[in-house]
Amino acid sequence: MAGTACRSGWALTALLLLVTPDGFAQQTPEQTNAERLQPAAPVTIATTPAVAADTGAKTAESAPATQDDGEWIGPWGERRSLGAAVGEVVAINILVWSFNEYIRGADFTQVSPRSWWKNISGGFTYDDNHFTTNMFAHPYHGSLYHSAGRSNGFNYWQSLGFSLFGSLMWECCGETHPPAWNDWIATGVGGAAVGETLYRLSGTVLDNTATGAERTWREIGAFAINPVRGFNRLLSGRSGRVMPNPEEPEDRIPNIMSNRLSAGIRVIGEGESLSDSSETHGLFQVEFKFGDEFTSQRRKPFDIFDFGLQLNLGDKETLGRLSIRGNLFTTDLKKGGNTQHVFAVEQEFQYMNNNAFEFGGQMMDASLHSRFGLSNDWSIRTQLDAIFMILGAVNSEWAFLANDIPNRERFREYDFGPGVGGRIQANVAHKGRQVFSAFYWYQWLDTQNGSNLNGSDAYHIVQLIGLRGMVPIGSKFGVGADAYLFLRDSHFELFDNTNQRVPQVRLYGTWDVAMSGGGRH
Amino acid sequence: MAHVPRIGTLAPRHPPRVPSVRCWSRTLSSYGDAGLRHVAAILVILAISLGTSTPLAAQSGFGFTGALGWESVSGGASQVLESGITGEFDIYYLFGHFRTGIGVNVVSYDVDKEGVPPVVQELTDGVSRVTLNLLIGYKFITTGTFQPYLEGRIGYVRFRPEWNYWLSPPEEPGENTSDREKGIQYTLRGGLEIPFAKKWSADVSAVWSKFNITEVTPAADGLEPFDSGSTFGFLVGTSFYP
Repeated sequence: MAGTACRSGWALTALLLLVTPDGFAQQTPEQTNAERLQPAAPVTIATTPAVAADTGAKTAESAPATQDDGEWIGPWGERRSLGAAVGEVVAINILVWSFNEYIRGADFTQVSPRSWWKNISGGFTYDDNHFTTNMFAHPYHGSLYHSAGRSNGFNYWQSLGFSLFGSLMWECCGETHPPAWNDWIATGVGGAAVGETLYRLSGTVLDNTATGAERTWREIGAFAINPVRGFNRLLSGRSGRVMPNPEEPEDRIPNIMSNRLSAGIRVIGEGESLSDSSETHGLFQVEFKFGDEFTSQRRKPFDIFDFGLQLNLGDKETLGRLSIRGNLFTTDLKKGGNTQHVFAVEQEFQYMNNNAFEFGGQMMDASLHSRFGLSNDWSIRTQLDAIFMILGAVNSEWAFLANDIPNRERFREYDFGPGVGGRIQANVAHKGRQVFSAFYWYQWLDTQNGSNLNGSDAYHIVQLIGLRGMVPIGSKFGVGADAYLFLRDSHFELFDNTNQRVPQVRLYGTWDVAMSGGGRH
Repeated sequence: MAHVPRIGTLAPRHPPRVPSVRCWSRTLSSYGDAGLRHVAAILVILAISLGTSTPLAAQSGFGFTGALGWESVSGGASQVLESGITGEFDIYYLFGHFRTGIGVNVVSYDVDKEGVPPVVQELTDGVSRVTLNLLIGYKFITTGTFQPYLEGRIGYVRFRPEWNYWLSPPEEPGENTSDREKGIQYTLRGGLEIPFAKKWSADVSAVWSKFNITEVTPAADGLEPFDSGSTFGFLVGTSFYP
């Protein structure tokens, strides 16, 4: 009887809900999504009279970040939306999961509430993915989360939260493999470094005042560099709307920005001399510098950063190196005169992968940058770094013994661990163009997962030494030669110690594509 | 400023017999696990209380729904599968009363281990189902405290014994897809959205689905094979309209 009453109650309630008159609806007028995405008056500003005439907007020089009815509007006209950013982070995970489940046919994606609970209750471990997957693909995956935050109006630090959250969600619920510390750090922290770099790089391509074919190609280029940002510009209509560019140069093209492209050959060996087990491969390299430690006025995170990319043609992986170093906090210690000193806390991402060695990680650096003017034409820049490696990875002879790897699919060839290190580098320039540079990097890495079988002690000392000589040809071209040496001394409590020596020589031609403020390599 | 009516202050033309909390709980108790039953009841009550105190407006554009729930199994699959815990995520686009998009539904089923050898029982963690759905829905009322909707779905479904995840030998990507029994699933979902913030709604729905698949053969576990079945369950979650 009671059950009958309940069922009738449910039925009546359902009936009521189905026939609820519009009187239940709210009368409060509300903007639609499309209306909300229209730029507010303060940013519908054109930079040229022609554009102003087209849009009927007021003229002004540029668009600052501002508040509109309590809603934050970024320098690119984006409105801050927590919901959109979170929604996109979730959608990214769905897309990546779908790709792995339905296209790649992966064996780790048939997730279910039971797998979610196993992952949540089981806690974090380490995994055995390939070096490229763990140290490059995961940071790129994390960059998508970070970009969801950045292109929905959040700053670097807030977007770091999105990359950490997105990665945590994936580790829990996007795959059946247990959560891995190395994944979370690489995706969350590395994702912020890669994501912020791609956000800034895409900004150098965009031009809100451009029209026609130029505008189309710029938007396509930016979309290719940062798809999440491109998607948000398309969705909001900002990809086709003529409006001002950001007011502050650091938001788009800083006062000093340089880009050097190099192509040539590299000879890499393994042993006492370069002739031992040597291989010769083609080389293509990008060295990009955004902003300048000594002259940039604004110093928000990644207002100053370096980005390096090296393609090793014919090697086991085409992407041989990816390095990013961006400032998080920067302050002057000595300004003016012939000598300047700047202290910076920087985030660093390193990925090195070739036939001879694998090395990389997520790092935080405390750096002292100095510039010494020797004459009107000659100057020296130096940089001294204290490095804290949050989690690094380096190849190791005994890494395949790694414990605590559930669902093992392969035997890993590299160890994971945190570490500390130091680096010094010097750069001699003539009329602003690099002619000679040298660096030395010492890194200690304490193995947490890999060769430390059953909790035994294992650590690595990695040293990198580099020399570079450049001969400028004209104002934009040049030829260069590098000599590099990679040294690894590995210490194991249970096994004999090992070491590795990898010399490398590179010869190449360069093209300095100085886009603002002249080249500064 | 327009008057904003609240459901608690309205006098409906035909006052309904609103079921009591005990009645709701009793109804839910006839279906699922105790824990889920209580969580669902609390969420429903919370959603209604939130919905009755929040300004409401029609949603448009993109929407996301995430939900958790429980479902029972009938038909051929019920010889092997018992009830399941289900999770759901949908992305869709709203235009007027209609919405269309895609959704992913995952379920962990318990299996009927009667007659299964004890050694094998330890391996029989359960069976999971993953469905990728195309969905089209109609919302009968797009503004107001309660927004009922009806949704139809067609999906690509895959089943797999879950213990494979934890105990199977290593597999390379691509090797195991043929192990998954797959087929088509048809789903009807009727539910209620209860807005509780400018961009957020609680979502309560009942779901019926029917699937036909290549035969699932957990015979190695001592279980009966099956190739079809239907399910009925409830989902409770939230919808978000950025």
